[in-house]
Amino acid sequence: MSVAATAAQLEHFEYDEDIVRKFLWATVVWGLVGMLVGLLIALDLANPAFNLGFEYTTFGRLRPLHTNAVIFAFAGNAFFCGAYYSTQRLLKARMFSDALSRFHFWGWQAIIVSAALTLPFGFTQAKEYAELEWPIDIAIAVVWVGFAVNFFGTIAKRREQHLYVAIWFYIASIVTVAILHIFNNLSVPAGMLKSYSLYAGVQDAFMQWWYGHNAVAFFLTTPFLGLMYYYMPKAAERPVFSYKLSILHFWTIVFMYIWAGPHHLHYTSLPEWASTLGMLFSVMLWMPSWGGMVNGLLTLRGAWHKVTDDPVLKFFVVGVTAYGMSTFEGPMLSVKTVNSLAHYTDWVIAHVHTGALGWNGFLTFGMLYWLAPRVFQAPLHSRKLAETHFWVATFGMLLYVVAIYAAGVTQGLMWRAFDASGRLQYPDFVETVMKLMPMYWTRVIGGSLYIGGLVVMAYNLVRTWQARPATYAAAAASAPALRAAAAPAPAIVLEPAGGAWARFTAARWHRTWEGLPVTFTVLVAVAVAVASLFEILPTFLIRSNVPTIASVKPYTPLELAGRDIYIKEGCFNCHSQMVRPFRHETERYGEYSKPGEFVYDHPFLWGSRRIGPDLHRVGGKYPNLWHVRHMENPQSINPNSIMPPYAHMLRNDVDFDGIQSRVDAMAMLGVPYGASVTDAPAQAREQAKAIADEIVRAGGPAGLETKEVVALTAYLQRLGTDITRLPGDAQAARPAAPSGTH
Amino acid sequence: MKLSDIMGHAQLSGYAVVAMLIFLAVFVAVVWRIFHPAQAERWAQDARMPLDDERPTLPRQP
Repeated sequence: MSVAATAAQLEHFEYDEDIVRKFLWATVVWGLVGMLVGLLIALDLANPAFNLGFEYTTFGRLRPLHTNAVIFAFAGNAFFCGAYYSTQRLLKARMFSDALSRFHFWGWQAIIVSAALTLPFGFTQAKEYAELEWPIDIAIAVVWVGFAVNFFGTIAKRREQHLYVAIWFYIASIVTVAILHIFNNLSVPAGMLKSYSLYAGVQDAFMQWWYGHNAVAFFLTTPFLGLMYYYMPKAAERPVFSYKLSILHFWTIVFMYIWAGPHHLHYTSLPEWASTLGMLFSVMLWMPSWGGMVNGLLTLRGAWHKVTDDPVLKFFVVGVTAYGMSTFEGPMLSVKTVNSLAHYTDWVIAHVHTGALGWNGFLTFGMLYWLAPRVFQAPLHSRKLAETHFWVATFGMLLYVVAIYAAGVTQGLMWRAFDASGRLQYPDFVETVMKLMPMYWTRVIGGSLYIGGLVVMAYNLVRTWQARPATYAAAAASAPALRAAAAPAPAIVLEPAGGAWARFTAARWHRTWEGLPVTFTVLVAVAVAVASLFEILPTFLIRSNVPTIASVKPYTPLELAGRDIYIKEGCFNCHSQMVRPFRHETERYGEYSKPGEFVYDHPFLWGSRRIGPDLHRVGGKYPNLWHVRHMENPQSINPNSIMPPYAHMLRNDVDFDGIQSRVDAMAMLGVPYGASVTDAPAQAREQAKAIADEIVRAGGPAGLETKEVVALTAYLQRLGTDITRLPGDAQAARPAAPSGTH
Repeated sequence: MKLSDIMGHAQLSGYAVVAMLIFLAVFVAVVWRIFHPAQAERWAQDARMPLDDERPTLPRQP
């Protein structure tokens, strides 16, 4: 094979570095914001006083803000920053449209700001990493399409024949994120900032974790792998260790990742075949993931001496190592027996922070230190400060994850411990929480160090920027013009002897794909879609996967309003609603959860973490007045509780008039609401008065019949009680119960 | 009769395993093909693409 030099006429053009600088600053600013919110909610768990006494600053409201800020604002802007720089150079072309680049940048920042303005006020879809309400979801789709048009337009006008593997990873990310975002966020609006998921219960859980896991895959993994395959060779001044391995890495990630989502739902009401399938693919994912890690690290072969001097390479080495650690741990956590211990515990939090702080964070920091001198056209202000950042952040990260791993394993073991008499050794849930306090404080210290490192980087970058020239020099480049290249076409000898089989084995078909980005993109989309459909559709279409229960009825209008308050406050961030079929869980919480109990749950609220106890069987466990006292001041019920006070629920009124539109939206989704679709507010007021009167009779405060706490109490008292009622009892038990059946 | 009833009687759950096996076969084929020695030189050329900031590794034909 040989490539003949072309004598074609050169075209001169300039890369757009302004957009790279914009995304660089956005990465730094949102990184600081997102991590500071993370520090605040870490303090919330160490001491509930840090909830600050405002309804807008509780853990439940701010946790989604933290996750959205670090994933979509910090990591998202980092990906865009790195991609805009590398894409132009790998394709030897300026971006397709500067206007679209600016639209992407400002649109994305507007989305982030809208998230910051809605999440603390309780506007949420209650789906992890997909909390933003429907108008913002539409904005995300529009901005993403703008990015995609700009990206694929650049590919179309490229001057480089082959697409480097980093571009493949970017393509897979752009296509798959679009698919995930659209299908997981399908919902029916019930107001300007309120909607209900199109799916219910088991199906909603399945869709959510198909999305949730693949958001990790295609927003935090594949884009950053693309960045690794570009910036690691640049920083090491060495080609990637094995291009073959990078191709293998790409296709196996694309084929396998999409199947792995159900491992988030082991031992829940998800059908077991789906759970097992998710586990198998998760274990198989270990292979390509470590292939990528090895490929990244071995790119430094012969250049390891540079690591001692270069902070960029230091960040990359630790980042890629963290990728290896978390992608070993991920498959391990997906094994059912390990998962039975780790699920709902802080172990999972430690796992995601190894990935987020180590892999995404360190790769981003290394990339920004490499980019800053180039896009600001000034030497890095201080290499020593960058070194300081590296060591402080590394120590902080280790402190964080080691403490939280210890917390997770402690939690899991304490929850399942039985004493010699066969009873739960720690029947009071708060005992297991108190044991974690030293680890929670250690996390605060580790997280503070990590943020301290980020502050040092921000200072270093600002000082570098201050030394920029008065006017940036254009990032000029040249390449043979497309129209001229046709005449002396490069002579590519790619024809082995031996017929069609030999041509197949010589991989010409793959070369052809690379030259046809549209075909390539469609193939990626097909791989993702086929895997998704094979796994998800049976759960939707085969009735036996979600057996119905005759006594399970829709929520009453007041219970629905209470459920919406539960969602608004983000209670699902600390409390699960899924009792797993283990003796230690049924002893602690009650009968294990059945798939048919969730058929009217739009969205599902199983949760993924137990900072507090599971609530699926809390209905009827305590009197109404207990719930009022508990919401007003949790520490008055249990002095060691770390739950924030929700006294505002005793002051805030229920929006009775708004209940009708919510019931109507649920009815539109097929929930059989019967007579409630015409007089939901009246039914809700009637049930609220009955509960408020009962609270007064029990010695509680008067005048609560219009307050949020009554609606929430109605919902909590309903939770998990349907299966203990005979079908005919449903009406009698709740005066305002809907009359429909399913 | 609803679509879910028809699908419920079609015994389709096993097809997820079939799909998994197909994917596994594709994986094996990709591994075998990538490591075929015929393309070693081309992969080495592509591996240098990030390092070439000046000219395309292989100029594209229109």
